[in-house]
Amino acid sequence: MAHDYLKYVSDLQANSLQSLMQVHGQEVWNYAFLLTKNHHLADDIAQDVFLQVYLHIDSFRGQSSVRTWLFSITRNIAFNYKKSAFFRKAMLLDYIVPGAGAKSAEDQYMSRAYTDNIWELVLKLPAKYREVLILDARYEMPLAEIAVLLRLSIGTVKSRLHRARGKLKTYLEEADRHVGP
Amino acid sequence: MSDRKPDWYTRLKSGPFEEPIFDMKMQSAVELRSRSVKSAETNGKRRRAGAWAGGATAAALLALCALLFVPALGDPFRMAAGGGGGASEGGPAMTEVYVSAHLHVGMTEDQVKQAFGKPTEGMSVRRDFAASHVEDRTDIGTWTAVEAWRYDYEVRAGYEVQSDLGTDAGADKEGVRRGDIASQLVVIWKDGLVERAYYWYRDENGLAQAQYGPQMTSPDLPPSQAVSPEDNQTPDSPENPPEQPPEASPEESQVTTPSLPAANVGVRATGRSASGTFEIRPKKDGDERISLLGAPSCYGMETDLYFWGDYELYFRDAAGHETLVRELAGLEIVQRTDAVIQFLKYEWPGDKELFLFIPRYTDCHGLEFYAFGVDTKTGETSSFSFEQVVTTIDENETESTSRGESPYWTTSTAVKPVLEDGKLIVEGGRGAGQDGAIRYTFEPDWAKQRMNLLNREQIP
Repeated sequence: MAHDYLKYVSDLQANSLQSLMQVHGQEVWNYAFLLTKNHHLADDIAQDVFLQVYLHIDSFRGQSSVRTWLFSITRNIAFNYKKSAFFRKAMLLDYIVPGAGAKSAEDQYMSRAYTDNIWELVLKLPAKYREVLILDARYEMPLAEIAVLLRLSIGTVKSRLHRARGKLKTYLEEADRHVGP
Repeated sequence: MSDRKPDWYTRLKSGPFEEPIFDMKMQSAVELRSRSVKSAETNGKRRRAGAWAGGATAAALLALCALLFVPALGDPFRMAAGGGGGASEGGPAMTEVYVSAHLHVGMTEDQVKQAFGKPTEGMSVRRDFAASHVEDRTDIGTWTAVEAWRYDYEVRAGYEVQSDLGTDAGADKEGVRRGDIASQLVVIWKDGLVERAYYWYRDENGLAQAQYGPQMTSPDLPPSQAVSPEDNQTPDSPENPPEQPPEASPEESQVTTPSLPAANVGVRATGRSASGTFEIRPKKDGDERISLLGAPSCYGMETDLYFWGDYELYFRDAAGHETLVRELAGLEIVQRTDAVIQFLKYEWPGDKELFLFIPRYTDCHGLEFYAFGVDTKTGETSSFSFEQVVTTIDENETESTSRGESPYWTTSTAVKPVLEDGKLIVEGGRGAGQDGAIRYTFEPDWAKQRMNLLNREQIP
């Protein structure tokens, strides 16, 4: 792994940070987006992840892969964002209004930009199923590593994954029915 | 579960988007932010506000700074990260502008390293005083020990830096004056925080000095040798820095910087039950970070302590047996002091006790809190989740509600949750632009460890 040497590093040089961002930046952004379903939040979180990496590289001890470590930071930051005052301010309303009548321009743009419309269905999954599914399907992460990242038992990971696959299969079938023969 | 992957897995191998989004522009923004981390802290945007509320603004400001100071910022950072001491081609290795923007009293060693890299040399000196000697924090001459970091920038090849912490705070002023060293930065530490700093460099008039923090006597001068302002002919001259402390602003002289507690040890919060004690501690082998908040904000004052890390909640029963009740990952705690936080305690009907843990003491909107319980008869503990009702409006403007669970809830900063008739009444936080708040009524289901939401009431 190109960045495994980071476990021996206490100060990250600018060029190493750049290299890390080039290799893992998009993955981190994707993961942040899939956690939050929000383009702008993903922008902010991904940038914060690498800022934290820069500031706390000495905390990386090589116990997991660099990618898993980055995902772990991404997850923490995403959850911290959800707890932040700004997010609470929005969520205190207890309403989520995606827009009256039609998809927002961003939604429309995003659905056009998906590599496959299956991603729209993935994003419909409840967060706990969505997360485990993308780590397994998109990132091909071993179940044991997913369990460490999500702080769950392997049994729980398997159970969630099973349900996630089941739900997505149902969504796919529904989508096929709507399209028709 | 079968290891066989569904066929549609192949459709998830790439994406979700075709175009890369974390592009060079974003990467550059990260690099700029990493260079300006101290500035971001000063503005209270260190972690979330910098990205949340100030995303576009900060990016614009940073871009402006970059345009203004590109020649000044580029090299200094690179040199500092390398630990200084070497020569570089083209442009100054460090500038007074950069030092002024990135160094301030009260920074931790980590923060200084982040801004300036590793020091060229760490220096320390100890002095013997009579047993009755009392240190004056504002006067280096009275300190029994002085510790400093020295950064040398652009040292001429072959030149040996002359340094003695007992003289000129360890700076090689003559070396800087002659041009053997482009500039030197000396950071003086007290209790692990920056007490003051000196930066020597050359300008068109020769040797120049910038001083950060209390402008006092040099470490080499005991108080009796200090030169009074009247004796000092040119107190503002770079070559003759004021030896006697000038009149500090009243606010500055009143400021006391709290010392940081040790990370990863101790108890951060506790609640005493009739049948035992709850304790929140940093996770074993965890990576707790403790720093000053750094800037006044919704989260508190700049001198408040900011704790961040993974924590564990234990319950120790009367016999001394400990049980791990819950893990609290990525928890943020902000408090005025390092005193152990006391849980709020509520006596519940049926020999039960409910405890609320509020990690932060203030906020502009609301404070998140966690709920734990214990059955005082059986000693069985509970860690509650809160039922959450989310109302959504779909594309056809059809309203629907769904119920979920949250590991914590948010309370008003002014009105703390109360117990009424076996129910927990929580006045929710207030957001900008909202009329009033929502009062939530929860009833604990002790068996399911869940706070069931019974009612939501809009209040002024």
